[in-house]
Amino acid sequence: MASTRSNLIGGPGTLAVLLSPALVLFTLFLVWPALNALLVSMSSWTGFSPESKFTGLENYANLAGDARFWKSLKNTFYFVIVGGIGHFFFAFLFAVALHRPGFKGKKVFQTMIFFPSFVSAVGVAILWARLYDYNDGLLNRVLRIFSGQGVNWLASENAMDAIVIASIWAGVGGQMVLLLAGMKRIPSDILEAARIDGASEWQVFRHVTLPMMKDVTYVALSLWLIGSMQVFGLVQALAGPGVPVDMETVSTYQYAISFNARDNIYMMGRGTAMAVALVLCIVLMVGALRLAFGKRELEY
Amino acid sequence: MRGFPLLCLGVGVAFLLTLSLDVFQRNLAHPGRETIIFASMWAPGEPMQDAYARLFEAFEKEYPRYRVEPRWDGRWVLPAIRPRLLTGSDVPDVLGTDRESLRILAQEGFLEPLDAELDALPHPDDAGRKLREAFVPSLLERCTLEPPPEAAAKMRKGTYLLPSGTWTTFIFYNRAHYERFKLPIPKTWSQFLDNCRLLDEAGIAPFAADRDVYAGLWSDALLRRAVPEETLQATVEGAPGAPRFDMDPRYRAAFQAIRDLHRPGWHIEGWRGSQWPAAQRLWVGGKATHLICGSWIIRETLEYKPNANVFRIGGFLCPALDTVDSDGRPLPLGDPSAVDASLSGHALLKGGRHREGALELLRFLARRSSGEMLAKIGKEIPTIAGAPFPSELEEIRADLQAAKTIYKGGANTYAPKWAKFVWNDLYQQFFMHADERDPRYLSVEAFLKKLQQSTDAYRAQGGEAGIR
Repeated sequence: MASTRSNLIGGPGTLAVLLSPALVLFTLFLVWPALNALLVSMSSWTGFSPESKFTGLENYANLAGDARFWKSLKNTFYFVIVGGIGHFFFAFLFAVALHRPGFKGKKVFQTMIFFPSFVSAVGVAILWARLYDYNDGLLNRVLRIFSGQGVNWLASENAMDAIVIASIWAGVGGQMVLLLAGMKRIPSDILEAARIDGASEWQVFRHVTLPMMKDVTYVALSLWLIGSMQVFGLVQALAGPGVPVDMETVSTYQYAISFNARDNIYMMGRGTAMAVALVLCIVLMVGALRLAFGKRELEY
Repeated sequence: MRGFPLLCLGVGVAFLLTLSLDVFQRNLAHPGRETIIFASMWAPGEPMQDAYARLFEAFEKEYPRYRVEPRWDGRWVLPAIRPRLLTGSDVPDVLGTDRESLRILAQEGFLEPLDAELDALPHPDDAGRKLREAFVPSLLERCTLEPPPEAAAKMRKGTYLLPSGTWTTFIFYNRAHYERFKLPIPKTWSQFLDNCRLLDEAGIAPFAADRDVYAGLWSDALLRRAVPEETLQATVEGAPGAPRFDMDPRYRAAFQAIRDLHRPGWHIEGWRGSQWPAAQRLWVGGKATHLICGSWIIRETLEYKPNANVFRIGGFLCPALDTVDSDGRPLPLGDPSAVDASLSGHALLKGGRHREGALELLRFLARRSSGEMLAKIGKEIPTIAGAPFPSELEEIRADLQAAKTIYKGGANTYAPKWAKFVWNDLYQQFFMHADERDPRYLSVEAFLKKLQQSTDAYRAQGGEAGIR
């Protein structure tokens, strides 16, 4: 009896009992909805009908021929690439500055740079909408002092750049914190050794710091890719409720197709196909990033 | 280890308790009263929400057996109630929304037609008359929805909405400017352009606009001035003998008129990047003269408390287009007196738990006093027969009463997928990129040609039924 009891405790039975609540919830709220979404993406469904009609890959074929979808994907990639360059440029800049020994007021600056990350996407959009206002916005008031004329920040030719700038302001703190943590992990004697050997600061950064931060940089880039490909809140709040085609991203177009109340057309099947296509894009891009970074860790 | 199953049990119980509270708390908090759930397109803070809240309070005083639980879901009321409709749990009894939004619900069989009730239930104010007679007949008639072929099994032709308010498109203008420069109310498009020219020369922008927020109202208004609505429908549907967008001079005239609005300096500076309601603020501040909008703009401008020396609101119908000829003969244009009427109202949802109470509420909302309250606070054009017009709308009342035609509602009514997939993006490009130096510029001819080609492709694909 005692040996049976001792076999149960810590054995496969215990493992199953401990894992089961999480597995049940995971299956119920993640796996099942994902599989259901795949099914919906292959159906013609308004989202209001109890029934739907299976259409196979028709929704995906329609997406392939939908110029507006490709335009929204182009806008999304623009945000990912240009926004990514901006985010990581400033994140590295701030992280390197804050990592320097003897930098006074480190905590204060760190808090100030990180603080916008606490503001929700809608809050960021409201703030920047006021800043971008052509007539009364602070940015144009300052520009008019120097150049006599303002910029139409939210006109179609400038809108994506305006969104990128707002996004950098809001999100650079998060990346900075991650990169700073990565820099702090590097043993200081390695950096000292490099400096003693005559390396300049740029050479230390380029040949020592960056390679030793490879894993952290990979994580930060992956998180940026996954988040930015799904950019929605900032665009919808800044340009909505009807986001113009010139500013549309895949997520906002998907939202317009699936839930749009403005033209009373609801195409949940096509919207879900868009979501699945987006997930596939993200998976491929993160996979490509993994290949680019390679598997080998730097050993020291 | 012993505590773990207890912990799981505790969490499970708490989870189930929170789920069930949604259903039971209503009975616990309001014993002996039936709760009528009213899902509304009005958001908290809007004047109409205030008007309805007062009406619900009055209803509950008069009918203590009932209480009304409003859900102020805003314009996303349909997506908000969708989960409840699909699961059948806690379905609202009454839905307050606009007519066009109801189509999808009617086609899916979620709405009850109200024709029998309109004839069976008594008039809320006048004994001996029917509920049907409480409404303005021409507006009640527009609340009839017909099923498309694919929805014939789930929907029949019927009245699905009891109208509570309507709004109409006008060109609203700043009276202070018109009086200062002694401008006449234009009756034709060329007179309108002359007024705009004079305003521009005086240094005032003729138009206020936030990007393309209300750009569709220009095309709606001018297309209806160009051709009767049936003609436009025939063009979209490709009926035999119907005029083509790229061939009929009336369509050219309508879009040339829109192009005329984009003369340099005629819109407020920065309009292409302007975010709603920036244009309204500038307009009310006297920086521009005209703003095309629905009549709801009246209640919105009141909130700015404008300085009467700088801004006073007035409105006129879109002026008639000048004569359009073909082979020396004038072509028939649209009715210059015609108006559009976008309706909002109340619908009865199937699956609601308190049908009797919901019908009592609908009768209460059909009273003249209720119509007066909604018109007075919400500044909507009343749909209840005998309810007074709000004073701010008196100027446009004459136009509404003189209208020979009330439009069906445009392409969104008879070809919504054409409107979404063919029209919207192309028109937005045409409207927003009016500068010839803009790489996305479309001339009137290029736009009409593209529109016709896209319409032909849409029909080749099967029209409305072909887009899924």
